[in-house]
Amino acid sequence: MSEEAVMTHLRLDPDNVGEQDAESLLEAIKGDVRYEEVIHGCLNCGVCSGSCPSHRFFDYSPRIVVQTVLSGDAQAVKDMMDEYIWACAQCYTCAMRCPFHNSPGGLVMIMREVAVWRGMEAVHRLLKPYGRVLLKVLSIGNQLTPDMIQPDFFPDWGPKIPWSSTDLAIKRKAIPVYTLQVTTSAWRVSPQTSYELYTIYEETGVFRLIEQIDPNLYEVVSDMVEDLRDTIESSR
Amino acid sequence: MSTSVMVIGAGPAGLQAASTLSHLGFDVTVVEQQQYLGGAVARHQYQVLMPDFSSGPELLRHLIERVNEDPHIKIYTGTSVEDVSESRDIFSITLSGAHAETIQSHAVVLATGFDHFNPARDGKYGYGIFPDVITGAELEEMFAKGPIRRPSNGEVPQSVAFIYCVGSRDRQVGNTYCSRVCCAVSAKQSIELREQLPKARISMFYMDVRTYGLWEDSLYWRSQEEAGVVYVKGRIAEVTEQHGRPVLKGEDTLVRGPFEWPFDLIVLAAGMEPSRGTHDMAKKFQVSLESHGFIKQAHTIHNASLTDHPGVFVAGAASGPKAIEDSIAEGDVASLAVFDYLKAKVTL
Repeated sequence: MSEEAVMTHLRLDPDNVGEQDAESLLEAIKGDVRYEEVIHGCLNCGVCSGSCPSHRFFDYSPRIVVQTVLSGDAQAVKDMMDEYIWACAQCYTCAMRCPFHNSPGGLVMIMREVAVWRGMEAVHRLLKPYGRVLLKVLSIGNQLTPDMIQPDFFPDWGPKIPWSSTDLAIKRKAIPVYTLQVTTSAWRVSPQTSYELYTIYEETGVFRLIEQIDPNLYEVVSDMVEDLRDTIESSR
Repeated sequence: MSTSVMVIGAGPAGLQAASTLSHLGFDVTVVEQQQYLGGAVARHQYQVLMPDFSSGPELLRHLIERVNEDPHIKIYTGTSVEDVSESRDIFSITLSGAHAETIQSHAVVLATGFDHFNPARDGKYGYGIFPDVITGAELEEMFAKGPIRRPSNGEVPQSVAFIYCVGSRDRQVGNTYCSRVCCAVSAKQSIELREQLPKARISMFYMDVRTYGLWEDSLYWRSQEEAGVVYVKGRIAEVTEQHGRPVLKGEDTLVRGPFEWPFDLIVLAAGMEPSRGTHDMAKKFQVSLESHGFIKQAHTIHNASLTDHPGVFVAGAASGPKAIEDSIAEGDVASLAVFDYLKAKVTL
């Protein structure tokens, strides 16, 4: 597959990386193939915001996101992409309740993806804490591993949950499934699996994207990839 | 042979049609599957009617006495339509139940009405789970039976919330239409409630208030100006319970943002759906349904009662959500349409 074709499939238009003109951002959102699925109309009934766990605690309203996009005010939409929409927890309760069958959560997903593809400054800032999740995804295909579930990373934990972060090795041993008796990955991942993952990331342009967004992370990842490839290929 | 017309359904539309058809010279058979006459007005014992606060029992008395005293009208309660065949524009209708016989009719008026949406189908309202969450129809029954009390503990409610558009205007439950009367009926009920509960907080949670035409000031404004009812624009996201009281969760979209708000009594303004009888009769008499499942009006603007099957007419909520006054008017419309249809075929 040519490099250009791969790029098109991922909707990563290399010419537009860094393009942050408000009108073109809105155009990218409305041009997404999912846009017609997530927005049909809006009655301003507020059932999405009423259902939204983030709306309860933050200055965030899925109704306002939908209304702002529908208003066509590109600058207001761009302002929202900087911080506002990142309070969404992607639980999709809004989509479950909307009388129009809209999916405000789905709209937020499109807006976030556009923000990522266009390399908006907010993305660097807001997604920094996800670096370690990304590293796990890139290296073994898991998002969360038992040893990542520690109180330090979850300041809003209730009083009882920290218990689950102690004596991990023993607790995992209690699961009667051999592949789950590990703490550094969600399940045992063979080196061959990681090897195939790296090939997929490379072919689909994910590594190129990481290189643009987080050069430091990319450096760690490429060392890791190189080591694993050496090991696998030399053992053949 | 006399010219006979069958009216199916004995709610306001059907009873009006029966009486008018008889005045026009037809022999009428009214078939009603229930044991009583009066449809929803009787079933829920409506005491005070929207929009004019007139008496429900009096309306029933008027409609029922006319048909009972009319020698040209036969009333078959507890009777259902089993089978229909048609030959040379004459319907041969086999009945079952209390009057199991076969009747020849020259025309048929379907006045099979509606069913209320069952809010248990939409889990977010907690209907059937929390005893203090009731429907508007159940509130009507409460008005009929005695003073308003909380079903959970028998206490006088200090706060009452109405939730609009339950089962209406909602793709999630499959009903994308407006049920037309619930806004105005809720406003009427809030005014009635105020008489019984002078100090209670009464709040209406709406996404639009559709008190059409003359109902605007007589019901919507009046509920605010005279009854001190508060309107909050926001569709309720879910009903939970805390300390034995239902709690409404939602967004006040215009003023105060997110809320979790306890009430003593919640009234769900449940919308209208085509009744099971409407579906069954449409099938048996081979008339088409429109996209929401009501009987399709062949010429909505020309004449409200024409179906796409000659000789079969429709009146009342069988063809869409409707107020009682409109259902009664359509009983007359259908009668005239039957007259128009039959005068060309038979000598009266």
